[in-house]
Amino acid sequence: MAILNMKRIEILAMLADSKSVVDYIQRQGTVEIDELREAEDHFDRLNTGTSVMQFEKFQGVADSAVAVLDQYAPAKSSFLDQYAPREELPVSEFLAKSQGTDETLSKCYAINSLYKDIQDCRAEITRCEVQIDQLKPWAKLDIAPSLRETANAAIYIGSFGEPLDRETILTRMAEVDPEAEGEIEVVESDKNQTCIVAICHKDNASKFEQALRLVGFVAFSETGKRTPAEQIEALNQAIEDQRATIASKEEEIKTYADTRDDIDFLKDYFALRTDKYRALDKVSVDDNVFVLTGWVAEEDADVLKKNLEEKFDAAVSITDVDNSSDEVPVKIKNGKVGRTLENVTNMYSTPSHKDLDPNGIMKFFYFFLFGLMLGDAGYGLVMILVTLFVKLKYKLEPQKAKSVNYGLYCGIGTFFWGILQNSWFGDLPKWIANGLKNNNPTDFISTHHLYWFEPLANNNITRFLLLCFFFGIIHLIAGLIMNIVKHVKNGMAFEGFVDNIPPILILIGAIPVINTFIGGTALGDIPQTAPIDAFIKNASPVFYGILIAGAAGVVLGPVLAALKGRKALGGIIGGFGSGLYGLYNAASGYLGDVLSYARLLALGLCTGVIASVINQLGATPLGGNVILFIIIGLIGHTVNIGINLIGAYVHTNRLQYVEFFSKFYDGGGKAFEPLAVNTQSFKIKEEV
Amino acid sequence: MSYLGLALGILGAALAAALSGAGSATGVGIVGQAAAGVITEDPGKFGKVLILQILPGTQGLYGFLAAFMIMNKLSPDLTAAQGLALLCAGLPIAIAGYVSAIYQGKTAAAGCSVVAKKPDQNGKAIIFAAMVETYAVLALLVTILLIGRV
Repeated sequence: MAILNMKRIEILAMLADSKSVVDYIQRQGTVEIDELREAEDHFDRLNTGTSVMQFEKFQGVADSAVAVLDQYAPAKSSFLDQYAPREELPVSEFLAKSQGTDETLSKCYAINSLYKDIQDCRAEITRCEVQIDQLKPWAKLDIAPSLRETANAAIYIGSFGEPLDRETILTRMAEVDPEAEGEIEVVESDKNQTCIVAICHKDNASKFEQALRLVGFVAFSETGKRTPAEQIEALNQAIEDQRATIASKEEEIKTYADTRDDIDFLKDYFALRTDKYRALDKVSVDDNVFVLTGWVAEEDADVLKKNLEEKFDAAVSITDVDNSSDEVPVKIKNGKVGRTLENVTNMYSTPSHKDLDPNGIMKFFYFFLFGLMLGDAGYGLVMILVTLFVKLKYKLEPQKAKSVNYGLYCGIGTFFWGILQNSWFGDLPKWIANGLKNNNPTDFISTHHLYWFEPLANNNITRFLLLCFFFGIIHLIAGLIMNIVKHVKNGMAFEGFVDNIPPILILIGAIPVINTFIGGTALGDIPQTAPIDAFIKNASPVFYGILIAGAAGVVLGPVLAALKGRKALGGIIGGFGSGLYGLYNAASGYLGDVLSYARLLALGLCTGVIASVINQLGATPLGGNVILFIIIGLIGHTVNIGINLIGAYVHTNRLQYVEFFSKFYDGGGKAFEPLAVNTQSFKIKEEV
Repeated sequence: MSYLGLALGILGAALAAALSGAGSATGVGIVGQAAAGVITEDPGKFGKVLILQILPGTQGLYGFLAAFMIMNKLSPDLTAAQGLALLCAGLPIAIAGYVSAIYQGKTAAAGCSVVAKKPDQNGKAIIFAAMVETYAVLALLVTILLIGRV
């Protein structure tokens, strides 16, 4: 549970070794490389920008090739496969495989070009379909559209933009020009247009054509030598041909399915080289040597220095730096349990060097509160079994182990609280014990009372609520203690104590107030919780004393601060005023904070009640049919666990972020981003 | 008139479940529309926006929980006063659930655009939405405590 101390590392080595040194550092993954600080004139920079761009372009080619393969030859994969470990590859094998990347890249280009052909064919098909649509009204035209005249006759092919018949057109033309004589044949007429062929003697052509245009005739733009019907047939044939081409190209793409592994390697290979060349860009060089500077955690520094100096002709210097500066990257290290919460913390903000790493303290609360919100032993058991299955099936890599273990610990918390509250898939044991007839408590667990208390029974909700508030108070106090520790660490012990001790006292002192005003006799009424009630009642004078001390502390705190700052009398009186205001703020602020823990009760009850209703739905309306009970149970409980898992996740995070972190945690640090092997499919194994 | 108490109690349960359910349906719907927009750009963000979409759904569960607890109290022997008391006890979660679910939906929908532009900041988007829910939790708390007093 700690934020590691960082040091500057400076590596000076022969230029000829530059790539192998960077390779080595990349495989170790412990150094964040940055640019040389002091401007030294005789050093140049390796300009690797073009190479990086080139690699990124190749990576894009590989990505789109994989996307094409996914579309036409999808790889079989299940949900659990994402937890499968990456294939291990010794360095020598990696280097051997790197020889084949050119060939793989050309295959990627081939796949992409096949896909482009397919897209071209699709565009062609669309074009043909549009043409067919335009030609369709003319399908019955039995002459070529290009035919404009015979020996003695002029022919006009075209359309009107409205539904018309032969008589109407001829009448209208006669109205325009009685001498415009000719013959008209309607080819097709629908509600949008009327397609016609008009014919007249050549001597009369100009008058006839003018009359035609005056009544709205538009000449047909198509001038093909084949009849429209023939053209449509040719277009349909073209579409068929394109479809056949697409099919054959698709088949061809499928033949590349087995290059998927090679392409995955290619992606990793380019990712690796992109990172490496980005790092090389920050290296300073002259004719013979290069200088590489960066950040390294104190605990890694000595080993790295020793190994580098042994393997290469290199001089490595490690220097101490003031870690309180904002530019120092933050690397955190946690134990097995705390590590699983790093993602939760980072989602809020990366710790800074002024912060305490909250993951260590969070692990005592997070899974406890999560379990309380989900609170069902059956669901907890499902989570434990699923995560254990994944853990046993695959040798998990650190990042994936984090999320799987997170699930496991949440499952354990859920299981723990489920047992305490006698919730096993809701009230499933009771239904089973009664042959699905009713849920009277005749099952083994209930008759032997193998639980603490059931929240829904009797007056237990109030008891449960009180406990939630008490857990909340402990959580908040832990946050305030963290704030004191943080202030002490940053050399501000006085402020830390003055600001945080009074609210801690107020929170402790509020326990009997909450117990009396909200709980009444709730805790004292049942034997399971009576000791808690007795303790609070017996110690209540102490609690009230603490409460008064806390209130006094809040009021006097600013006065103390003013005295310490050797302010004048006015400042001290002002301090007293701001202390009173602070008391009001503390009281209302912490009241809201404590009440917020009521969500533990709300979400916990939701899971149990819905689970019980699912059991009831499966049992009673269907008269206790075992098969239907199982089917309804499977579906219902799956949905319930899904919804409430998300609820518990979100609200546990909220309690951490809003109630807990607000007491001590600022974040805003720059995460440590070492030059490392960030590969997706292969894991490169260092040979000793 | 003898069943008036029972009828009022049923009305209380019905209002608690119906209003908070309606609010949740509206809220989840609002987020769903925004979430679909995000997915058209990047289907990989499905998991993140799904969490945002489910957030305004809890009010429906709270209303359901309150209705269930009122139902446990229902019997033909309820006096009119007891029935009216149950009805009133159901109102906090009915009203606060309805309103908070809709506003939580709007907040979560705005959170979807956070996910679209800065996917690594989705934790903050979730917290903004979870803030709204506090008042539904408090209302549920009052409803539960009131039911306990009837």
